[in-house]
Amino acid sequence: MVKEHKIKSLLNAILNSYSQIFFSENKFFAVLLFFVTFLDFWAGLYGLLSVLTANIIAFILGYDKITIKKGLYGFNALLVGLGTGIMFVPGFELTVVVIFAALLTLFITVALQGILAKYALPYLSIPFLFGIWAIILATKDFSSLGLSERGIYTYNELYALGGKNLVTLYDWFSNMPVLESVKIYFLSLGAIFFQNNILAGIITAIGLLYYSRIAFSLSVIGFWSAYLFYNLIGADFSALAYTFIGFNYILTSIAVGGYFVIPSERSYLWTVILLPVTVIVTASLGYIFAVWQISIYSLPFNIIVLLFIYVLKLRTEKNEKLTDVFIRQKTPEKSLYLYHTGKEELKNKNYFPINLPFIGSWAVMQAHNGKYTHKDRWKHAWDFIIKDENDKQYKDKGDYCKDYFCYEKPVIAPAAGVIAEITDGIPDNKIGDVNILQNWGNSVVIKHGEYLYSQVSHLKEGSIKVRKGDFVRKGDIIGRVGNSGHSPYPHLHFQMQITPYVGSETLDYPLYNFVIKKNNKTELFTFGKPEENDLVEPAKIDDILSNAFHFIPGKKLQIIKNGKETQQWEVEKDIWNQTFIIDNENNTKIYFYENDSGLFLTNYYGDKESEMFLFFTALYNVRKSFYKNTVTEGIIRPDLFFNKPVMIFQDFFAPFYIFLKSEYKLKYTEKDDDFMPDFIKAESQVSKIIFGKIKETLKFKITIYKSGKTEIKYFDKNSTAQTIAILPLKKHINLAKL
Amino acid sequence: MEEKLKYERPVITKINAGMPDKFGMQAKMPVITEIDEIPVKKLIKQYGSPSFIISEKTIRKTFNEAKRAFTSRYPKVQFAWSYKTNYLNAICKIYHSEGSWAEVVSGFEYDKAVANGIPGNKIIFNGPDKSKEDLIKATENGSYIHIDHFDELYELLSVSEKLEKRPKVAIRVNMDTGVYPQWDRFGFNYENGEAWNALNRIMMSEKMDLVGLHTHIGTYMMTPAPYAVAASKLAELAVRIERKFNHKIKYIDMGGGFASKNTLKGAYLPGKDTCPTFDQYAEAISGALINSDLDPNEMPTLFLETGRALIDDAGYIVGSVLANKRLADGRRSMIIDTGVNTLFTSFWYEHEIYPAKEAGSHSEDTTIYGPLCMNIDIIRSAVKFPLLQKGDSYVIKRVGAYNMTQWMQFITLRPKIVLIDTKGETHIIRESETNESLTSHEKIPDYLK
Repeated sequence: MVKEHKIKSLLNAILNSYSQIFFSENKFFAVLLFFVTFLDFWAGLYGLLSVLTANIIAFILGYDKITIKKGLYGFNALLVGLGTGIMFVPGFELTVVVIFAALLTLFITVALQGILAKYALPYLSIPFLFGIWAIILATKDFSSLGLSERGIYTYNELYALGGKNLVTLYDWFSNMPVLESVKIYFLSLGAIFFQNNILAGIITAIGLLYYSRIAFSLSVIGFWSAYLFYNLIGADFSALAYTFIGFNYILTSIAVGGYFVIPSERSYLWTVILLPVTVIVTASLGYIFAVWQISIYSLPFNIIVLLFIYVLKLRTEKNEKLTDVFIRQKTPEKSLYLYHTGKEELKNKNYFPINLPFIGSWAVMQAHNGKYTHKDRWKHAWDFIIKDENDKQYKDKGDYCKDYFCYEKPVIAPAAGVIAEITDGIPDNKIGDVNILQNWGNSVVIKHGEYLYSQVSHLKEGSIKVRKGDFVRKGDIIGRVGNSGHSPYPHLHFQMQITPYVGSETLDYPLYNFVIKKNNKTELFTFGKPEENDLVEPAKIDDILSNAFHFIPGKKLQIIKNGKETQQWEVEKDIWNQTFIIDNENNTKIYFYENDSGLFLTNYYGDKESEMFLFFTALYNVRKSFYKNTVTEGIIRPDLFFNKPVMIFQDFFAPFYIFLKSEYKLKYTEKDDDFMPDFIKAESQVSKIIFGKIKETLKFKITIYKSGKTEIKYFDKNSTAQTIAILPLKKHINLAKL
Repeated sequence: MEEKLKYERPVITKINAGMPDKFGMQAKMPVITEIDEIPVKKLIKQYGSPSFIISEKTIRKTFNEAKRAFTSRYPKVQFAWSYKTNYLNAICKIYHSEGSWAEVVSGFEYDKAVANGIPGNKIIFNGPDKSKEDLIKATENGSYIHIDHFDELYELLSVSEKLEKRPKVAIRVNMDTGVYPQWDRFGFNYENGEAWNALNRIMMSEKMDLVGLHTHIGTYMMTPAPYAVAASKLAELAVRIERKFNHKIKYIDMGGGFASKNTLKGAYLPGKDTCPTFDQYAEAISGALINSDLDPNEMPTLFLETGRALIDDAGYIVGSVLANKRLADGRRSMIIDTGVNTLFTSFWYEHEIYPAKEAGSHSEDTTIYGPLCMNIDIIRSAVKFPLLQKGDSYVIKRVGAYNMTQWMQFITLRPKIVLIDTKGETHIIRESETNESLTSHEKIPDYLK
């Protein structure tokens, strides 16, 4: 069993080493590429030998199994093996050299990984460069290694491979009246595997197209951008066909346009801009390396891509139009779709939850970029007051602090933390007066994490009950609203900052899990920034919802379809602390994350006819607060809802315009009892939208019970009513019954 | 045409300059000429004298003030309207529209709440008098039954055996909160272990769901401190119940008893200066709960059944002077058309009474009598009051609580109750009684006919 597992892992590692050259882990693509390398039998064989060697050594030395399995330790060795295999005459000597070359390449890979990880940069094919250069320079002394003439006499090889028929086929292919540049494109693609023939390029192109439409379109765009630039500057492009260099443009284009950056108009634009640069670098490096009589291989690609990724990372402002990929997905398309659906998720995961610093319903008197004092370096702050039903903030005439509704109200810690700074001893101002000398008044700064502090200000003198260094829990009372400092009437000033001083520059940071009530409508925010005059209050967490949608690793769920118990699901987590629900029987998986505010399903893997997919669709985005008829929305990856042909079409245009949308909506409609409910009812739906028109809507009626059971009712494709219930299998121990 | 100057009889009073008395130097009585911008004169003309006038605006304003005081200090708060304080259907419905549940203390009040459209699961059933039928009804409707004594607990246990639904119960707990007299006639005592005895029986019986803890420490509490004591004792009880039975209490009901701004007889200073504000009560209660050992992530809901403090201010009586008279000792007395039969609370309050139009600037010690032919019918035994003439109008403030439930039909008939809505429209919410309304319930044996 264990052995079988190991062999399977090794097999995965080998296959992925092939597709990884195109940043892919697609098995079919890998098999195609594997076949392409064997177009030159010996090169293919030495490539395989090299991959095997590198991966086996990686396994034996005990590197991270997942990295090995992804082929990340193998693909550089593969390239070295292929390059060496094609250049020299096969034989025992070459075999030995390839094995040692693979070992060397692996070590360089691991070392570079370690060095570059600090900068969060990939090592791309730099290990291959070092490996192949080392071999080539060294072999000048290795007299027993004979230079191979293969790759030059294509016909001989083809004949040996497939007889006369293949030669004829190839001839027909080569003489097809296609543009010269198309031929060079295919040759360049093939050149990635040191194959100097169009067939290799064609097969690779097919594989690339199968793997990713975006990668394919980028390869085309990248190549022709370079081609046009060559023409412009009057360089001879056809030379590329013989020098294994044209692929630099293709790989650079895929990496910059779609793999390390979320594919978008901007990423495509940058691709087009960067390719002439790549051409220049290629040309100039060629002369430098000519001194040692070695090829530059993929050096321009490595330089440009690393440079660009690093430059992007050093930006100080977020740019939604050109975003580097945060979590690498299997294809650029997935990255793109998940980026669009998961913007909210990324936010949720990146932000530390900072709750409102008070209890009950308050009004925002001044928000970010306020008209009074929230300006410039201090613009990201809020001022809160309490208003009555007539919009007044005080009773009687408002001549005294105590007339103001917010005065002396408790101020609570917005999140757990350590008290970092306190000022106290500043008396309340008379109404209308301000204390400009002690601007901030009595304040408390809490440290919530490194470079994350919150500050409340204008508190009442002597009301601060915490001391510097105290640990506070979320919701602990830290002081009372007062009227000290720059405060003409009692209000609570709240801001986030990155330094621990009272009055630090503010930080643009959202607040967590609150509702805004406007015109009898309630809007629920997981993270958001209330605006001026908004009435905000902390979201009330519902017991039934937070019980039913609390999925801790180890929780087991029994699925009941139309009254019959079917499969069981289990909640698990991986080493990256990513939680998922898995159905081992049907091999389906839902990735999710949850917090106090809701349960958010982020990704689904597996059969789309399964119960789990229904669960995913119906409960894609559920909140743990019950606000009747408040709608929460989300967008689900379109490729889960639209069929392949339409999706392929969409993939090509996805970086520019996504015309296929699957919009999710959920609203809670009923609670049987406000105080001690037995169940909550909800309705959810997913609308499939093409070019803004709703083509189909899947509707679900959901009931969530006190026991944690969730029932989903829907009509299937044949309009038959179906019911799926998800029941937690958890043993409750009732001490009262012991 | 200019109004004719009013004739005032000459009065001789001792000049007492220098030392102000407890009401300060003020000699001139303020007047109340209108209620919610409607002239008192018009109200009397339209609805008769006397009439109860209730301001919906004040009800809602006071309710929101109380709600704000608590919700800005404690995360989960639920008010329940104390029916006995004022159970006129219109009034109850105003409170229900603000989100209040119903707190009832008898089968009659229970049915009234149901008739007002309150679902069973929003009714709290208090009091020592719940019949077997009441208990069955409350259980089946899913109401919250606050058990007052062991006999009720036994009855509920026997009742629940035959019912499909499990009763949702709380026990009322009485305790020493440091005030005298200690209210120990309702519920189970905390200090002597009776409360635990009741809790153990409920938990071990497994026939009912213990969902809350209730206390009501007294009435007209002039200081918030005892509420803090009571709240921390109930919180402590809730924590120990969880430890012992692994059972979470869903709510803590602090009852009512908040003082209104009326002045109790014998009080040295006026109530409006001495009685705590909602903020002070809220601070005491929520502070005690938040500082207790209760799990901050799963705090029980705070129930409040305050009645008096919410409605007292909204009620007025408008009426007319019947006569003026000199008493034997020379004191002035005034007879008005509101008696203790109508203004029941004048037995314990020094109600504020004001002229309804500009009166003379000279006040004289006056005894104000009601119209009853009964010696006890005194509205104010001694009040500095300007001279009003027969037929002049007056306004009595803060009569919203208890009067419209405890009033008596005695000697005279009970007057109209008028509601001024938030838009300033008036509505009769209870008609004045007629002979017919009383005699219709009477029966005459045949031989007397």
